[in-house]
Amino acid sequence: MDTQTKILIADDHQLFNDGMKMMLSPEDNVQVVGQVFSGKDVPDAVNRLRPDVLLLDINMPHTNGLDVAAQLLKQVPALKIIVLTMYNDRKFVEDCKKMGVHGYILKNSGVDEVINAIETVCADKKYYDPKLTQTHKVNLHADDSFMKQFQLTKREIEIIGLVGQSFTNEEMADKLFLSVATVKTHRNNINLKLGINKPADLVKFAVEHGLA
Amino acid sequence: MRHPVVILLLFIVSLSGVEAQQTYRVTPAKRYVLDGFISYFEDTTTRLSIQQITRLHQQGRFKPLPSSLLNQGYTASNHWIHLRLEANTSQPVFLALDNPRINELWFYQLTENRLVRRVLTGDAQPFDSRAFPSRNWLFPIPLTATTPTDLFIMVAKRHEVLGVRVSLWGNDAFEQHDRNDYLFWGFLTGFSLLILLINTIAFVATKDRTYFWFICLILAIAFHISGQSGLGFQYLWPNSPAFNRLDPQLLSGWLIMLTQLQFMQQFIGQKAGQSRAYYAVNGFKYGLTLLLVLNVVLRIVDVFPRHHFQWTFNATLALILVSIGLAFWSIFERIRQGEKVVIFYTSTFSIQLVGYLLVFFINLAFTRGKEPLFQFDSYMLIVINLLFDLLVLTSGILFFWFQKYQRQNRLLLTALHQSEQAQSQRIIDALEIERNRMAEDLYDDVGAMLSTAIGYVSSTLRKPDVRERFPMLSEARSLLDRAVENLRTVSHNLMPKNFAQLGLAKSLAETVDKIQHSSPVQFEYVIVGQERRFDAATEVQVFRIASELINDIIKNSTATQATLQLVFNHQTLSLITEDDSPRTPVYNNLTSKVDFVQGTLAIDTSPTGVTTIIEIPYQ
Repeated sequence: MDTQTKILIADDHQLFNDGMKMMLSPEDNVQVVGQVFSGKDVPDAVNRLRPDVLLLDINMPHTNGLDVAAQLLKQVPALKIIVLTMYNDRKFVEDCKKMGVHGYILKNSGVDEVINAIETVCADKKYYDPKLTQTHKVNLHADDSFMKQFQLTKREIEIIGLVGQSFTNEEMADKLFLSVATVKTHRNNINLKLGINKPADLVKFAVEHGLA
Repeated sequence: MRHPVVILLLFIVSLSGVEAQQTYRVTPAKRYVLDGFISYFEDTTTRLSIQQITRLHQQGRFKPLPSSLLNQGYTASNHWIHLRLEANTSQPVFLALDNPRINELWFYQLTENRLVRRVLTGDAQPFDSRAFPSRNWLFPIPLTATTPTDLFIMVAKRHEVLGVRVSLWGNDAFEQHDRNDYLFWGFLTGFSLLILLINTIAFVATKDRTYFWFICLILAIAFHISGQSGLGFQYLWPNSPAFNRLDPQLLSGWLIMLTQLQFMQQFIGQKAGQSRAYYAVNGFKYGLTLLLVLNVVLRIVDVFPRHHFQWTFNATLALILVSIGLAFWSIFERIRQGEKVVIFYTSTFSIQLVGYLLVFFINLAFTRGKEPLFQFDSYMLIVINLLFDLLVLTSGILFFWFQKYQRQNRLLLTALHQSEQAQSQRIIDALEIERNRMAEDLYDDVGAMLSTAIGYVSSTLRKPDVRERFPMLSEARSLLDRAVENLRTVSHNLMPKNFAQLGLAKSLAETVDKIQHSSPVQFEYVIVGQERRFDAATEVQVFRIASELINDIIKNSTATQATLQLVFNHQTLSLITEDDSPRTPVYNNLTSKVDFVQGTLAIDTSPTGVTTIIEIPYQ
């Protein structure tokens, strides 16, 4: 960067705000032009100081940080907004993405990450913290497509197999080292997942899918 | 009441050739059947003297009476009966006339046409005008062996139904009969008082109006019986013969109908909004009360001397029919619901109804001057009904009251329990708010400080020579990172952000996701069925229960794989965790959390791992 990127830090936590400024001071390519400690002062400061990048805490008290961000995105399209927050919650992340916020980083990121984020958004790219939780479910049977379809657990598949081989509840309980009550609960869940209510249908399912 | 026939002596003595009546020869015996030995004469003028009557008798103008029952129906005349008695030995006998309500009764005892004794009495005279203190008309007659005795008795009931039975008793037999009679009445009175006492105590204790109206009903029936039997006049109003003119035995019947209906309404709980019969019954009650007052006033002022009794009597019969009809209507409205109270009342009422109907028909027969089908006084049926009422209805009332009491107790306990629950709920809500605040403070404040420290450290570590000279600083940085992560987990577990909006299922998904990053355990999270929301407190508790289960798997087990299932069944939510680490799980306060949401907990440990199943009912 030829000129330094102008940064405005908006965070109500005094210690963190000062710390961030101190963290960024040694960096040559950025310059902190201002600090804001209250959400309502942000638009005004943006107008006055004209930063390139706004580091915005969306969990400031008495302010809806997202509303401020939305307002600024409309009014000052050139401004790059990086949300800086303690909260790693899916909902916040999704809301920010939807709104078109340029970056989202967790406060406990080191200065490397912050610099990285600033550089990325200045290059007109989006930067979302890699530490953010991914929206995936860890599925043990990722390769078994019909099990994924019915969401059957390993235990439940075992039980379906035994039902297919005409085991009684008591026999299954013995074999699997479970109580009869637990076996019955598993069978209820299986019925609910497969949408059946007769034991005969379960046997049929077992046979059809090669589980018996 | 018929007794075995005693040997009769036929002895025809005629003072004049025309006399056809026989003389009754008295031998020492118990009770004498006088059928065929009585003659009678109706004096329509009501002005004939005893001399004129005896003359008429000598002229043979008296007619024989086929039985010992004089039954004239409605009449305003003076009715004279004649009986001639003769004995072998001197002995006293008692002549009895069984109708306590004869208005005027004149008794003449003649021997050889000379007046020996005269008693002028009737229920229009004070009680002590009687020859013998008894509820019925009793005349002690000392017979001599030498001469026969002629008895002339005039009975009159102005414009009322006249029916009187004449009987003769041996002295000893009479005394025994009299004693037994009064013993029975004494027992009945005592028993009634006892039951009344029980009911009064119950009324005072429970303030339940059913008891009050039952007491009124019993008193009305007792009043009726005392009027009919003559005991009322003997003991209750002996010096007020004018009271007898008000026909207490009839009007007490009206009171019985009134109190019976009122009692029924209370007992089966007939209420305005739920019953159409209610209005009819109320109308009848008010109408009857007005009629009663009117009746008494008319009688006192004596507006209709000739017809008053007849109209009252007919009205009584009609009112009985109406009140029975209303009672059945009230019962049939409710019988379909099979309430025990109604069934009980129906049975007792039907049994009593048989009694009342018999009374109805007997009285009807009397008014026509006919012999009734049953040769007993109608009020005996009332007595039986009274005993029945006393025993059965009292038991019924007590039983049903007790049931009501138990039911109320249960309701109170439920209300108390709910109030306690509400109280605990408030405490828990307060704690939740506190926890929430703590979580935010903790996370925001401490988290921010830790992040600041991370910032400083990372900033310092940007310089390569610092990284070399101070390797511990990198360690410090990772430690700080872990501290923030731990803090995040703790805070999330205390009160996940946006929990209310995301709901239980999605919040748990977030939790599992977060854990995946920091734990070697492979979690599978499955949601089955249509998600149903609980109230806020319950959802948070279920979340905490799930956190507890997950926590144990992560911290205290050697599991490599685990599943967490949230199954929305028809009636319950099942929370199921399974893992492959055989152990005894260590839970912190799990049972009390499960209790709070009224759920059930089943922990199934086996050599292959642990399965925990929690069922939570929907509200």
